[in-house]
Amino acid sequence: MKLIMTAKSTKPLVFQVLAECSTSKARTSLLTLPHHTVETPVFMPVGTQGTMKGILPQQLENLNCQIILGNTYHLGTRPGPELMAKVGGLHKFMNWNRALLTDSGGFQMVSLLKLAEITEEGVNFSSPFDGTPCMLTPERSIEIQNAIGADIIMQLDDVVKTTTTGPRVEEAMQRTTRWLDRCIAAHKRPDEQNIFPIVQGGLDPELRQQSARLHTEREVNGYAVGGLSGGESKDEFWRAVHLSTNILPKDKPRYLMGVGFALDLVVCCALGIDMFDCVFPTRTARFGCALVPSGQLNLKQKAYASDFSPIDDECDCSTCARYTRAFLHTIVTMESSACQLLTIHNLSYQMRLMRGIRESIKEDKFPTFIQEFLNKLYPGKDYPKWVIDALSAVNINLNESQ
Amino acid sequence: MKFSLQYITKKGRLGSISEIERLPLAAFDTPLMLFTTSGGTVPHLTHETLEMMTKKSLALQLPLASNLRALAATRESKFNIAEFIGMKESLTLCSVNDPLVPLPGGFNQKNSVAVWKKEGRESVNEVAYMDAMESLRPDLYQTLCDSETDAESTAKRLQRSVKSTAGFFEYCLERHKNSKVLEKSSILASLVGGFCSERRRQLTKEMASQPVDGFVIDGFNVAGAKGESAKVELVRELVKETIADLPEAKLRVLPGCWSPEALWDLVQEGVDVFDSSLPTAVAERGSALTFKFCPKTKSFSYNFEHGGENELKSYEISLKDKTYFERLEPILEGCECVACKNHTKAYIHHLMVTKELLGHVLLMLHNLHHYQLFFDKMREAIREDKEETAES
Repeated sequence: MKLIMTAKSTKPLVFQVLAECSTSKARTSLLTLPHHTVETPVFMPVGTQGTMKGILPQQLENLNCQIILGNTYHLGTRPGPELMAKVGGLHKFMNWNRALLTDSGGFQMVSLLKLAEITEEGVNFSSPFDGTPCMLTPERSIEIQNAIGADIIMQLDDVVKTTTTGPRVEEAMQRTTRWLDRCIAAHKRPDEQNIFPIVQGGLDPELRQQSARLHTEREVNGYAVGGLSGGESKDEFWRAVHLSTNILPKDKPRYLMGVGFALDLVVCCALGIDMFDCVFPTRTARFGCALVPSGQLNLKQKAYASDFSPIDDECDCSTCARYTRAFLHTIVTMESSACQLLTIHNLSYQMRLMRGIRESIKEDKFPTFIQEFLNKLYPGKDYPKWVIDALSAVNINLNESQ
Repeated sequence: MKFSLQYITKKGRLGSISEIERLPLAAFDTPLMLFTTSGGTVPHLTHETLEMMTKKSLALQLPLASNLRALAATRESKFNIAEFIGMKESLTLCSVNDPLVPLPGGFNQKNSVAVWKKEGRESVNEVAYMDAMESLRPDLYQTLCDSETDAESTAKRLQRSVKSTAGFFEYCLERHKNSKVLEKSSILASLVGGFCSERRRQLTKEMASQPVDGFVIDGFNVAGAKGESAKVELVRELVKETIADLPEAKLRVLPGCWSPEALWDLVQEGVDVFDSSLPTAVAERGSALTFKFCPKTKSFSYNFEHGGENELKSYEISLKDKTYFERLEPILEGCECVACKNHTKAYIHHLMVTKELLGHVLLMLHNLHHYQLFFDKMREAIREDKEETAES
């Protein structure tokens, strides 16, 4: 039989909704990217410098990680875009064959570098190596991200602290759209990499609406909701997410940046978010903390010295298969391997959580999943008010009575 | 435990450790490389990554210092140390000293030994030591010894080290004989005496006829950098003399951070068991082993391409060196390890520069693989030697 060659789809992103929750705004979909098809809602672990804290790419695949993040600021500095381009991109450099997403570098700059100053041209900063003045422009950010070659790349946005008020917020929102246009114009690989715009506007509903509307006027394949991972109250947080997903088109993926605690993931899936990223699971592993359905275990605590159960009885990760809490207690923060063991477990936890969310949406049992999840996290049924309010806004009423 | 000799030549011998009670089907070929551990973990690696390196059963070396953390849990529970550290399919040998950590002199007392934990120094006497062994229940362990001696030790100090060690031995053996929980464990006598021929002879002669399963030739204080730069000719002579006085049928263990050439010399003297402190130390400093050993010619060849920025040994390249920034080939062409099959020098260099954990993971995977292969080749070299003096 002759093999028929089909023309390669020129779309670098195909988003297919498989099932929608009949109660909330949650949906589960397939996100087909150049390097891999990703099941959403998805949690993306952060591999900042082209590596996931001591974990081999093979191990990430074993955990069913389908897409991970790299940071443009770090990779743009070391090893730099020239080497990236030479090697054929970050996929080849780190030997990761599934999907990648890079951020723009802007957020890191503003948070890591003291003298970052934002002008219309771009972000002004002093080189951390020799102090010379540097500039990260939308064009330069895209240039570096083109060299890194991730499946999804982020626009450079004008980031303001969520707690900022006044004209600066609107200025940033408008500039973000102008920078989006500059990013799109500078993008040299639109058939292979998807630029996502970032909805800004602080906590002002009007500004957020405007930002989202402006972005939907551009030819993009997905959207990010930015500026909501620190500083604001939880009540303001969920309302801004809810507002954003109401405006953003349903037929394209929505990515909520910097969100990763289990509770936040579950609630925001109900609010219609498809993609998340956060350093939390990998960072907390380094401090000896393991994620479990009831919250977190700090394995450094003496209580675990004679606890011979695995971190989680229901976890099927390689750490829980073999290692007890008591043993981990003797090595956390003392031996390098402890970091790997806890990272594997925490990533496994996150992957299982997301799989549970997806499966329950497919079966249209997401509200039940949420109730069971909350039962384990809050056995005393003392749910935070924001959780009750957020879920109620999407027709999920929690069983508060005993 | 059964140690059977399969092939003896004038320049090394082949054997097999088998019939470990806990691991009835496992057999470990000697000369054997023990995997040096810290806190029960092979540095930077987990069971999952070790399995990617080799499917063979591992033999682990467990230095006392980092095993003290496991005492409370193993004492209380039914778990022995192998089970506790999540490596129940591996052989466990408890050692007194850590071949990666040189002993600063002057801390051992007459009746106790200073053990250097990461958390601080602890003093262990013979009673505490045997209590520890009864908690940990390793497959093999050596008797407590005063090994804080080296080439500069005074005669008086050497005398004391030998006397203490002999005293510890007596107590340990007595406890071992009467211990129910250690019935399935093998005891190895520790031989010390620094670099002094007379002192070593004196102690060895005392120990040679004792009812133990083997001997640990200790007391050179050749951990870490001290091992790599040790005067191997001197050590070789002393080891030769010691072995001449030991029964042929029993196991000989020689811990220490020997260079590959020194290790081959010591294999030829008839030593059966070594540890992986060298490949580990090399990985810790950001380097990869690149030397080659040819079993036919029994010679070493080196890859002198290192950048020269650091004081490197001939057997390694430093991945921290700028020269690897753009090198898109693996550490060693033809190497089948996880690091070489999947990653480039440029990537590992990047991991070193950015101080990322994965860098050390990859270097350990490469170095341990490389060293295991080296042991395979040394065994092959012995097998090829037709100057046999006995056969199984």
